[in-house]
Amino acid sequence: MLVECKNVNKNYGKVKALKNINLEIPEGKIIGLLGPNGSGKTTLIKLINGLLTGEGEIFIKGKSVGPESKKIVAYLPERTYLDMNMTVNEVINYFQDFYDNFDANEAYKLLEKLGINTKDKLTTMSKGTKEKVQLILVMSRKADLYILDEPIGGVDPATRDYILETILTNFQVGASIIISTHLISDVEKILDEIIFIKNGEIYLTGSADELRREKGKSIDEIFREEFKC
Amino acid sequence: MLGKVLKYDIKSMGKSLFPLYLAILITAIVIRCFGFLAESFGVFKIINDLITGLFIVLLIGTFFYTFFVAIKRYYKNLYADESYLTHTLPVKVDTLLSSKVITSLIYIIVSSITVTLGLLIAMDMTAVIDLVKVFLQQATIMFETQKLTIIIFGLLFMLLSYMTYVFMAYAGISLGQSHSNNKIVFSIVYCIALYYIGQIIMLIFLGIMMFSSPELITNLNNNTTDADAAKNIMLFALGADALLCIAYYAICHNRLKNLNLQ
Repeated sequence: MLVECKNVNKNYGKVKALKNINLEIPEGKIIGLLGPNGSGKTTLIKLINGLLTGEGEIFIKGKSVGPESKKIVAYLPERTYLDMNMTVNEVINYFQDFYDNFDANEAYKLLEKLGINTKDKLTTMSKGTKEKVQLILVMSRKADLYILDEPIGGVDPATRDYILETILTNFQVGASIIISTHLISDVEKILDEIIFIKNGEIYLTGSADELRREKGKSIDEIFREEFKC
Repeated sequence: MLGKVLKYDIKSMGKSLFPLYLAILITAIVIRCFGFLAESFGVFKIINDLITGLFIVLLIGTFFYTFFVAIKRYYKNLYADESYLTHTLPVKVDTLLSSKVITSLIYIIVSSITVTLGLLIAMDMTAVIDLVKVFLQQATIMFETQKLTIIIFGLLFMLLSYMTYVFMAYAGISLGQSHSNNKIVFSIVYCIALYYIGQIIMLIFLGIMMFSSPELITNLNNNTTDADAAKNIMLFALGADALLCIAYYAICHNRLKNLNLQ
């Protein structure tokens, strides 16, 4: 198993954000981590990335969360996490310095396709361009696991298509991708597996095709039905 | 990995500090040039006085600004948005923390050198140098030791005192960031609380020292100091600062190990 979560709990004060999560994520799959806002998707992702500490155990390729697991996990958060005073070239050097599996040539190729000047400082770029640069950096790593938190949230439909295409054409063969989103209709077609999360608990898991067949509905329709307000 | 983390910490702080260093050196050169002109033309004296005022503000501000930049780097890199990248690098917490400490130390040394250089360029420092010589002479008599030992000890003491405040601010930020809301306010509150706790601990230790060596009080009352007592007091101050640094480092380390980036 690529990721194993055993009895994972996380509280924010008195609020239980995650309740006894037991989860196994296999290799070579695109997994949709789906749930409404505040359901615990980002909390689970942060725990896997070591940005939060909680109860229970998380293993990535048998390694507990730490420097070794971070070598094989490529993470795209929902916020801009780059130093805005750096140029794109400097950020590429930064990734190259710290990640052995980062392919700088691939990053330059993707940036050139978008017409992004690598001598430009990030602070001079629009929010959308910064997000694209960030996505390119993450997808230029030959990682075992890509974790993308809301990669298509708050962007226009054309950019959504670009993002999904970049994800699909650039991830390492045999790797898994976890995509967290509530914009299900946009990602549904690329998902192999589904994890529905609700009020901090795993609500439903399974193969996307099987779920569609079993319920006779699209994943988006299942989501709308299950999470009706 | 420490070398790589250091490289980026040094670069990042340098971007904020090097323009200031440049400003100090340029102002110093201008003051020196105007000083020569002022001897012949009165109008240059007024301009020179104004620039000297700015220069003094720059010199004093450099130390505060160096401290501020060090704290800002710690906060931005380890707790603000950038921390999402920092904490997903395959780097140990100790390495991240050590890099911040070493970078702060490097820049307070560079700032001190720049300020000294600026002063030497701008002004005739003969009088100040003479004063330092007299002070060193008296210190060698008081501590019954060599000038070099006094200089090394003095520099070490100043650096450690500065680092105590840097560590204190780091620890305050780390504790403040563990709260869900009002993180900045809590960080400031923790910094103030740590400052007073540090002072109280120092006073307690000083009290213990005074009671265990009553001759210290007698010497102080008589305005006389014996070399061993003076050395003990200085070593105590150095040791106390070192202990506080270790305690603050432990707080930072603990908070980063139990990270909660909400």
